[in-house]
Amino acid sequence: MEKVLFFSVFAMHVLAAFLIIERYILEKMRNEVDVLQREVEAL
Amino acid sequence: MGKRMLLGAVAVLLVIAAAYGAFFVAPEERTMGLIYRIFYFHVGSAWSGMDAFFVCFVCNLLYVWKRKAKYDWVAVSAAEVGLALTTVVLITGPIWAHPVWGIWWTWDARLTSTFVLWLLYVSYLLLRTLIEEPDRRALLSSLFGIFAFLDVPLVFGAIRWWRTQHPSPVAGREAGWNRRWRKCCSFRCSRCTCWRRS
Repeated sequence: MEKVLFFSVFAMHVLAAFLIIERYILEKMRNEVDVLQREVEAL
Repeated sequence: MGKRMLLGAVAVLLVIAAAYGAFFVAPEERTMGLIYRIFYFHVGSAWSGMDAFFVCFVCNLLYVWKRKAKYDWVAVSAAEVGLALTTVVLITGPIWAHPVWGIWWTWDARLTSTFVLWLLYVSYLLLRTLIEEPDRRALLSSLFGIFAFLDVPLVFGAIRWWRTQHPSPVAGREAGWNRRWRKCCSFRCSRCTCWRRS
């Protein structure tokens, strides 16, 4: 029972790490687009 | 891209393996039956959610200290993932509680502090939508994020510091300590009862 529990906790951690990385890349791209948009507006 | 795809595939495979383990490998619980298997998702989500909030907290501190936007981006990513996992916890908990306790919800220390944690991180994300200017948004949300994290130790300690309806730790070293403590307490109680009767 304990082994299955620890494995499920580990699996959820890997999933959470993957989701955080994906969301971070999305946030980074969104900010880059915002900066470009501001530069275009300034021109 | 390749490494990200690989990590995604590994994560999905691990979750599928964990689900297989929860449904087919873990032994049947004598009193709760099938419903106890939800516990494998509940505990996993709770720990991952709290660790995601810890990542958010560290990045909030780093942003306040170094003022680099990348820390704010990691913080908001971790907060969103933590919030999603805490939502899973708040949904799976009552699904388990209803057949076992006979109630969906009770305002005990663990459940209430978890609900407050969920509300705090919803507020954190709402706050970000209300501020237009990026630097100001990052600073204010970082300060709020540091405050919001203060609830995480309360959630963790609630079942250790107070008597709660929520079960105590069931696995690891702490569970062994808990079992020994309870056995010791029940032994002392029974001795007291015997002494009073005699």
